[in-house]
Amino acid sequence: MSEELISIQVIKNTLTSIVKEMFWTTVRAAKSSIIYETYDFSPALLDEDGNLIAIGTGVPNFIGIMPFIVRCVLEDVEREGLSMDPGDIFIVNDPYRSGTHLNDVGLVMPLFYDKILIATSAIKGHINDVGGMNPGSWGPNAVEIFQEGLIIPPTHLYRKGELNKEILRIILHNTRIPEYVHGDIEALASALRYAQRRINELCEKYGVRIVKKAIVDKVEEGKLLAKKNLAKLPKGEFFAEERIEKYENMEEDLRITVRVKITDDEFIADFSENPLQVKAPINTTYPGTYASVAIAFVAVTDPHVSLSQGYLDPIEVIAPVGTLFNATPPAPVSCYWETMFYAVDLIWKALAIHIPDKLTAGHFLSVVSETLSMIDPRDGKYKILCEPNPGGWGAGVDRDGESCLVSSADGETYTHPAEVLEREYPIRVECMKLNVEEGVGHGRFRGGFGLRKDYRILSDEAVLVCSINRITYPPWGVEDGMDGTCNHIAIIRDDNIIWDGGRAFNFKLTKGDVVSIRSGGGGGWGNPLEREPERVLEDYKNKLITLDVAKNVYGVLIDPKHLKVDIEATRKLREALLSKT
Amino acid sequence: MDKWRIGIDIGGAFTDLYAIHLKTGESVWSKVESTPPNYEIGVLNGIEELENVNVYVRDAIQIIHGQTVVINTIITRTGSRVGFITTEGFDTIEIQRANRRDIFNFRYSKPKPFVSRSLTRWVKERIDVDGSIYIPLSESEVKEAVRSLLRSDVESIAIGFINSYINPIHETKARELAEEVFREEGKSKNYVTISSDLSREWREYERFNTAILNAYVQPAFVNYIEKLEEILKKKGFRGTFYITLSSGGVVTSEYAKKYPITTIEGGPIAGIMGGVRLASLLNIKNIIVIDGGSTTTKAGIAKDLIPKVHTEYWIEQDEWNAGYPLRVPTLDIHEIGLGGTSIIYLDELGNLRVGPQAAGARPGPACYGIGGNKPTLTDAYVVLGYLNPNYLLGGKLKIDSKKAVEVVSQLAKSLNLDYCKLAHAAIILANDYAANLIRQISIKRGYDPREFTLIAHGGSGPMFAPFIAKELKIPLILVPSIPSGVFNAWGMIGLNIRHEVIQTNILRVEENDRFVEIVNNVFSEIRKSIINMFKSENIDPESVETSGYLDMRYEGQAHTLKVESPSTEITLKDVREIKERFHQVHYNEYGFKLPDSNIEIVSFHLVGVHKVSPPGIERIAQKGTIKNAFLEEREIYVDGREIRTPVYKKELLPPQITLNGPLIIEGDTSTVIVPKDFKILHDVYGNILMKPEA
Repeated sequence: MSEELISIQVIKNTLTSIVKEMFWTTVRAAKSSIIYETYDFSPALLDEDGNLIAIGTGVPNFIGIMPFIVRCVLEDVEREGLSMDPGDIFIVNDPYRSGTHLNDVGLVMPLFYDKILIATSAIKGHINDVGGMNPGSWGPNAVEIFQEGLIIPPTHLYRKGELNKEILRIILHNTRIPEYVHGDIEALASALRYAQRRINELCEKYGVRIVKKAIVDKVEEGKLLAKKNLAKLPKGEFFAEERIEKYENMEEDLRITVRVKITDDEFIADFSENPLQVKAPINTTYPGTYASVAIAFVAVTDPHVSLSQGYLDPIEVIAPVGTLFNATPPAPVSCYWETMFYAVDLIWKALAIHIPDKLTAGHFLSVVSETLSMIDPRDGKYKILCEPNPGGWGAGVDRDGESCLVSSADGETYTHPAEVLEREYPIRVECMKLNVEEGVGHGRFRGGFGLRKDYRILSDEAVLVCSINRITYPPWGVEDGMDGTCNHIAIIRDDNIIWDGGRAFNFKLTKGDVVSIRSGGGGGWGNPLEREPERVLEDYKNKLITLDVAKNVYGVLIDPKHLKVDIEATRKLREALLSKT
Repeated sequence: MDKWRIGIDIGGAFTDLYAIHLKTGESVWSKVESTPPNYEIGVLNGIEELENVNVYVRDAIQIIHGQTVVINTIITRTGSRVGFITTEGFDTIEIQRANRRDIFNFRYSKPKPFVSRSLTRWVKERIDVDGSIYIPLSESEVKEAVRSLLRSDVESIAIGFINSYINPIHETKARELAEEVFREEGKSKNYVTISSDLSREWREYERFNTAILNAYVQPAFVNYIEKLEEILKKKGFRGTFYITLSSGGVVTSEYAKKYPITTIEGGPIAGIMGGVRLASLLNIKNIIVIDGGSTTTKAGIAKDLIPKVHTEYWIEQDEWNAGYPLRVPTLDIHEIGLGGTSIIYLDELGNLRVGPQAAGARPGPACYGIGGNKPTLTDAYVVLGYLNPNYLLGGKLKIDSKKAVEVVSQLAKSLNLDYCKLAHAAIILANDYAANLIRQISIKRGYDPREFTLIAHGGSGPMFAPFIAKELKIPLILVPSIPSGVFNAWGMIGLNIRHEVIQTNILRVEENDRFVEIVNNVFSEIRKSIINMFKSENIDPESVETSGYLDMRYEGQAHTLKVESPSTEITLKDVREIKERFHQVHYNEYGFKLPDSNIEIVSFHLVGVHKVSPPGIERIAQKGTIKNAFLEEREIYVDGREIRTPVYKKELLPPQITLNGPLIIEGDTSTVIVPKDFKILHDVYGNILMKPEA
């Protein structure tokens, strides 16, 4: 018996290792940098019913989504009579069933050993172009999904190890970059075949019975841990609301809400009170909303947990069909992430004050991504710069927020160095610094600072596209901590700001214009008048605040010559300021 | 003089010295405790131990030293107060690369910079992307910045300007000005580091951070080396004193004092280089070297015995933390959180786990009897009889096996397991974990472990090796004849003197004369600066061999691959060869090539080497039969039952014998376990070559 226990433990560890090996197998085989540099993909092992065994990940989006991919394939095997044999690989990107947007292509392989179904492996990765009205298959202008590319329901890509050439030809005829798409799809498939090989090795060494037992154990074991961790969370109902700034064809800003209910064995996120789906590509489908709750659940319980299905057991998501968080056909979804991460932010906001050891005040949230396209006068080539930008994160109960960190929608994502930008694109980076001028949410602990980055356009002309949020509604503060500051982009021509906003569709720029990207500062935590004067002094020394802010916001009087706090005068000033409020 | 070459390796627990006689090849070693923070005392003790056996440093022609002062100064945050001068408008050190490595942690912390914003000064200057001067350097601002930083008690200054990789003129001018101010202010030492001296690659954060960390460790390093030089001088040393580099080469101590950050991994890499040397003597082609320490294991891979040198290196980076980038040439080396003293415990779910927490030297495993009360891997090996129940290290370390049984039994009880079964399970889990990590490292590089030989050294390496080899299907294990604990010190002797420069200069590959001319000009410029480095070490430029590499990519790609250039003075014919090599390397790395795509050179990499004749290994003189080496038969727990297993003394084993497992070989610095389905050859040099039975 105990020998068996040891074997089971070894197999469980190996299953976790296999998803990491699948990860590096994909990285090595992929053709596009969005896979091998940005890691916008996730491999996973799941059991025969689509329950998660283990997952490898570079960005947060895909946790919680992988089971949907496998289940929609299994459903169609059942309902539509698709065959399922050893060596099969299915392909699917239908976002209403398998989540996110059409670019994220999912592959699923049933893993057989000796004709016995042992488990399934799945992978979902970003393919750079799947057709549609915009190069890259996403943009702010779609009003229905048919403008966003090819929709693929669960279909055989490989049948008993043989390539299904017809479906591949259809896919490759519907993209602007067929050779890259082909290479990347094969790279994703190679990870699944690798998993099959390793599962075979395990079955040969330990036998099918023990391997299956280890899989059940791994899928289930999270339950106990989730229950233990759930016990540490506050119980009750928690509510939060936010607003998303309206898009061009909307009447008003979107009010979004969540009601979080935590009991001894449930973590329920209720998105019942939310707008109907919109004719803008920011709708999220149910799997994405489920994933956002899973992300929040992992974040508030144990960010380092070795994730399996059992751990997600307590989660329940309520989102009425046809709303922003559970969109149905033909709602466009290509920029789903802005809304999906608002769902994370809502839960975060509802719980922050109650779970201060895991959560901070609000952060800048938007990916703050701009697209600049231009012809480089140095080599005559057409170039597109598209990048996420960092911003300010919220303060914690016991510490200041982080400055210039990528948003919660990004993960192990590296921003561009100035030296690389200048060499690769016809721009001069005039500054890349903390956005000190526009400030942060002050508080007992203050938010982190956003980014101020100015690009001077060196090409004859250029075109700007951007679609960012939190342009009028700043990151939220906690417990009398002040709200942070907003994201925006300014365009400066001849030293005058000629445009300032968050959503630009094909804005024409000319040589010498400056595009000034300014991301927001995070929210504060606690009353600024309670901030330790030494920290206020330190901020002043670091040129993060002025003497005026020290005095008027923090009630701290600093002697700028000797760089000291006037303790007595500060005490009096703070008393006076406190009595006013 | 001129008799000995001596390697000195300082580790966390021990300081090892290894001396090889130039003519006779005779070798002598000593091992003493390290003495942090005054490491030079440990070295002195080691030198005196050598003197007891009539090896004197006054008779040494070279001393080669691998140290841990640089890495320890950083880890313990005991470096100097650093000021940073940079281009106006750039908060590079605060912004970093903005990545969130711990992706589900919403209270993630970025690495805290080694320079605060209040000790950062902006000056007006700007080099344009083509290397021209866009805004001239404000010399008065530089001087004022240095003065104000010195007033703020800064000891060491780093300077980093945007685009200095392509034209360092502003940085070099700023250094002159800074040194002027240091002199005016009456400072005895000019601690000024400029980023372009350490790296000529693009990506400002990585380069600036490298300069800042150099400035941070420089005073402590110089202080230590000077003390050591004083000791060596007193002992009559008149030879050359070398420091090992992270790249696998060495430089003179004078040179290292200017750029201490280039020596940061100088200790651990010696083990890989030692492995390469030993493997080449034995005609072994591909190696994985594991150095099993007390708290962690270092692993390095060298396919075709060419260890990869790269400049993408981070310190304090792990699964959850971004760490700090260093753009200094470093051998490909990995650390695995598993060592001889890794702790065995049950996690929240009651699963058995091993490491990464370790007991270290203090309080140590329970069986050391010096306060450790948690079961460790060493205790598990003792419990099962793999390790001697009474002593280790040839008698130097007493072992209390009862204590080991006690702590392992306690844990076993909570699982309702027999304590032997628990110990056995822990060993399987730990080795399986190590095997998985080594598999992941191999896969990242596209290597198949089945084509490699596993070289195992360090106190715990030979203990782990057969289990790892079995899991990864590695066909051959080599346990070096050089005593496991002093292998790194041995590896240092015979390292070449090495300088290299990597210069970013983006250039599309074209088959025309202009391209050839640019390539040759860049290589020739770099060669000049490398020759100057050797000259500053009094090395005849004639003796320097150079080889050129190109960091290349397909147009549009972000990452590069390193390709060896056919020559550093290419002809038109070579251009096609360069393209072919790139396609091939790309195919090997990523499994595909794009024959129709344009190719770009991103960086030029030139390595200059002054070769040192490496010492060989001696045949062992041990005579007699296997009986002389036989110590005892011990009950060892294997697969659920006790098996009587012979134990041999390593130092008494005769050469050229073959033995079948299970058996144990106890040496003065480590224990080799030969499981039942393995056999070994003890070769003429005293190496142990272990193979699984077919």
